[in-house]
Amino acid sequence: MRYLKFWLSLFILIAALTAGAQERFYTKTGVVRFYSKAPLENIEAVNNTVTAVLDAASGNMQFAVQMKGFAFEKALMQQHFNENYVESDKFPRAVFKGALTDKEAIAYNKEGVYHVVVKGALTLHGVTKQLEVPGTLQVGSGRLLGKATFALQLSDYNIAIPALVKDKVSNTVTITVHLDLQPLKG
Amino acid sequence: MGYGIALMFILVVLWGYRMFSQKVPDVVQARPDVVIHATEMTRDFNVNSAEVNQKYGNKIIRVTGTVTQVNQSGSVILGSGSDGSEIVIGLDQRHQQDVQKVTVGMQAVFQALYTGYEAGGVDKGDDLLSSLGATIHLRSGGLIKEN
Repeated sequence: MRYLKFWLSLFILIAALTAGAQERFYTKTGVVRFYSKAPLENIEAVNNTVTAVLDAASGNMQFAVQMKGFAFEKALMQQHFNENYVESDKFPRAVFKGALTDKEAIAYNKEGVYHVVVKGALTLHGVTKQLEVPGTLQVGSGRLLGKATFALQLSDYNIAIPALVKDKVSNTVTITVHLDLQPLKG
Repeated sequence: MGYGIALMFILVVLWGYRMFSQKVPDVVQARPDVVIHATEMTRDFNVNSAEVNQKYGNKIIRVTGTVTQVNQSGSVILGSGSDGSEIVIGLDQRHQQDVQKVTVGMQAVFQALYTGYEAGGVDKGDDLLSSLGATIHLRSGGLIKEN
């Protein structure tokens, strides 16, 4: 009887410790900003309807961004972005599929800020490129807060800058990702 | 003659500046192209998402539904009921304060621009996104009416 109690307690303890790692976390209201410093005028846009999922057990992570979901302040910038740069009618989504490089380093049942690296493939404008992005994952109140900032070269994704504005628009854009992930039920 | 050319040049520069600096129109103030309930909209997508995506492309949608999530980052989610499909609305900068006017469980009417959808489906293991159900995306939105 004593042995049974011991094994039962051990089982419950292990189950409790690993419970956090069984879950998937998601958001449909993630925020992706891009910023490009340019001599003529800085270009800035925000998309606050980004879908993302993190599978805690495998460390796999995916997110999808609707290109028409980027909101600009200036109408002409918005039009050029969709029609001339990312061609959002032809390539409506950007998708990232990757994984945390060190999933064991995150204790999902222990509050704190963890430094992570996400490695995977980003498909944008019909071109898929490998990407390795450092960021942080904050565990707290049953949720995860993911943050990352990285730079992209537009030319890597065959996004051409028209010759007329080539010296006025930067080839490098800074991407900021902010994901408030909650447990996926069911 | 010289004055005429100078005047024309000035007018062209002014027109160019106006075009360049013009702000994105406020979708919330515009006349909607489609007036629909969230349940009906998500049902349409679950029947034939590709066709409905074409139908709603670049359209201003006025949608009524139950608020299931409010985010201070400036977005709201409307649920459609039992099938798990949702409508995610990113609010326009000019209407960010609307997140203060709605709460979860409330019926509300929003107006926003359709931007695309994420198809739901059976969880295929490697496709994590499909496990979330169908999601319809709208942006540059604002609250029309709360109940």
